[in-house]
Amino acid sequence: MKKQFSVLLTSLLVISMLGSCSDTGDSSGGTADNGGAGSDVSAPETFTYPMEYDGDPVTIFVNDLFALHKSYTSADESPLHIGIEEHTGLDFDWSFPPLGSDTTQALNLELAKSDLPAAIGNLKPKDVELYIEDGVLIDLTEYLPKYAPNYWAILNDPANEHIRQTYTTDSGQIGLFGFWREDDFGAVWRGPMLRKDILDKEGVDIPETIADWEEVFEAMKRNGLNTVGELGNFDIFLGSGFGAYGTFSKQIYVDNGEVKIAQMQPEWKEYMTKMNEWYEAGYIDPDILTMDDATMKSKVANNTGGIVAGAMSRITYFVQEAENTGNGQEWVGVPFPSEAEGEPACQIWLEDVARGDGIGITTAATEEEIEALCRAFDWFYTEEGNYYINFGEEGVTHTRDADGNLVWTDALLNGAEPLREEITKYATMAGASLGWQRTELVKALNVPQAVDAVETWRANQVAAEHLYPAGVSFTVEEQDDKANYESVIDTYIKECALKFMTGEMDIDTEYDAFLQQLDEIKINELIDIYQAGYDRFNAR
Amino acid sequence: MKTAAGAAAKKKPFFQRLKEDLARNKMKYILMIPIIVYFVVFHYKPMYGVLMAFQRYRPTLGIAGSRWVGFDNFIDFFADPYFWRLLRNTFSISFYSILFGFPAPILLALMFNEVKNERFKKTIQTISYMPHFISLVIVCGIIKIFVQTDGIFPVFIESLFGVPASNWLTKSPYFYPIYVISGIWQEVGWGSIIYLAALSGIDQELYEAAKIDGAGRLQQIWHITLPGILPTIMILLILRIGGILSVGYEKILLLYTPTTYEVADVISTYSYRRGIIDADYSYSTAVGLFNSLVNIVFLVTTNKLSKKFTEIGLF
Repeated sequence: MKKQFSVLLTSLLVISMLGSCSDTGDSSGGTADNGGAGSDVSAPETFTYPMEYDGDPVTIFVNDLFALHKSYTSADESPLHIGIEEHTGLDFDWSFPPLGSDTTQALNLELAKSDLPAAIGNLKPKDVELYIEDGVLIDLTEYLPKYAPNYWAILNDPANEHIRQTYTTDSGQIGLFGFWREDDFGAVWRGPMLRKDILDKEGVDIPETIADWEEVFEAMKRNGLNTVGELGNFDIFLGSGFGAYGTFSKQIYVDNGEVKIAQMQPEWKEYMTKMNEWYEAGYIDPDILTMDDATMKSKVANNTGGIVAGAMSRITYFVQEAENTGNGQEWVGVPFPSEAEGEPACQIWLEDVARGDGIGITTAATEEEIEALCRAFDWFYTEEGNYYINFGEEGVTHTRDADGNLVWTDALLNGAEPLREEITKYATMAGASLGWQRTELVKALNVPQAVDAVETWRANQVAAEHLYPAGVSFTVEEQDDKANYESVIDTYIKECALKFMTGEMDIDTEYDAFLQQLDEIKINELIDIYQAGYDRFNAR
Repeated sequence: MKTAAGAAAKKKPFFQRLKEDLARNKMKYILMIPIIVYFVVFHYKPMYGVLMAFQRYRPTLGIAGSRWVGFDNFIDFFADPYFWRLLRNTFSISFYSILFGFPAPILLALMFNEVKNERFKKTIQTISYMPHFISLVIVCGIIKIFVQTDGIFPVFIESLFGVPASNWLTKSPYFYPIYVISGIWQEVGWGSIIYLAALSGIDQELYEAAKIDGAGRLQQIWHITLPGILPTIMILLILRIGGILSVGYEKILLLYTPTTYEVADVISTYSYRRGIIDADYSYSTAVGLFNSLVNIVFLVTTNKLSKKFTEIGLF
């Protein structure tokens, strides 16, 4: 009996030892393999996905970078998320902001929780420094070369200086896996558009200068048409024709390293004088002050709006409407006007190509999870991962024709929702995600007319030189002061700009008082804060 | 006798009385539990968030870790260049809403009361409170379409008086009338329900007596109906004035434009732009707290005045 027992015990021991041996053998073997291979060649491609990870699913809270399509209730049903887990080999425990909630608030609530997820997004690079200081995020600098060689290589490529600056903090830390666009194609998605059929009928050319535009306005007016659009879309309108960088909303821009505000420049005054003239002449619809997208569309459909300040997707909409209703409207994007014919146009509607969104790893992550997360996120910076997150699986969402051109599958084209929505079930890059958004994708999602419009808008302009970077961050003190000045200034500028246009305030006599009031509400202090942030950004 | 019993009860210690009462009204206390829990969980517990008003709150640090700044947020608010404008606008909008919006449902209820055809009365009543159930967003969408340059109202006025049609929402002088009138349109029927309930409680014999005394319709309303519903009117007025700074900001947000900020920007919309859009939580909490304090002052004052002059009060 005793002997039997001891045999049993020994065998049990052996079995358990064997078991634990094989356990550790497996995992350490796995990492050794990968790590060994990595250190041998130290080339990014050598890590093979899917990875081996046998820990619990890793918690992640994320907003639109890996958005859950609204028709799914959980990530278990979503092809996008299933695919991510299959490809990377890492099981995630996904959580998302509730549908329809304010994303900033949802994120802040998540940050305020006592149990943080292991990874959190979308975070803005401007907040990263503080989040690291507050003990929310970890600094990834030491992990990236080891576990995220692809991302690290991109950041250290001298050609990607701007991306590196955006995702590095003022003190040289890296807290995010970031997002950016392949080039400025996806970043210039707003501009002026008009009805070419009217121009043709009137024998007027596509306008290039302000003088041309006045002819266009007049031609439109003869046909009972004026300019419509949501107010926000007028922030870039025809200012470039005067050398002015903004319209109604406070516009910060950079001129030779110096931060400036468009509304304080004499060029803007000139522009507003003209806007006032145009407004009184009836070239601009007085309803733009209250106009929403639906009103804008109905004005276009009712033939009262012939010029629209809007996004490229509006052109897609108008073109499809014209096809469906046969209303004979022909919409094209027209270039931002320049001061003189042939000169490049200054304008600020170029979104920073490194828009500044990313996912960070929190202090709640264990060492093991950090490694796994870095590996998983790094996949999106490989050719394969980037292709997947842009277009989805070949054969499911799209096929390639003989010339290698992308063809969406019927399932996507004939889905219940428009293509732009359907694709987000399989790939999130139509909005934003980790890695870079491919220009091919943006083009494939829009009608040729809209693609042409963007090409027109981005050609012959110098906005990129003047753009205030999205990745600038501010210190706590700066943020406090900025919060105090900024709402007041934003409100004041917008209010006055619109009154200058409508004539309720006389630009000739009241512009100086406007500048003086701006000075009183501390505009110069605000500019100094922006300047300081910008200088630190450049020093990164 | 009541007072004697009360005095006798008071002599016993509190817990003694509670114990006896618990034994006697056990079921009532059990029924109360969910309500007490509701108030504690949803109304008292969240109140600790008010501490944010005295901090530079950062979500990552939480209330426990954020820096305390005393009254800085309040000072920032009072020193805000727009403070007086916001306060003036808030009071103006509230004042006009009360001045025109408060009597409207009373008048409507009185009119309903005079209608003798039950079927007709019921139909009109139902129609009149229908707009209450339309979402505010839709109501504001309707308003926008009706008063834009080619909308029905400006065009109508143009054809009648020759005033050139324009977008009324962009004109400051039109803002209060649009806000108040659309508010009355939407809420007048709903608001009249409570007065109708009060009206049904008036003793019909009083009317008969008045008729015999030779009182006309208007005299009956003045001497019987109005005094009959006065307690309801006063209570509602006190509550309404108690919310003087809590104007319907959703509606303002949906209707205002930068050119009408001058009259339409109120405390809550401004703190929304700054607190929620710019995520400056401490500041908006401070503003909210200030709002509540002013409201309480008004509530208590109105209550006092009402008690003094009409002997009707909330507490």
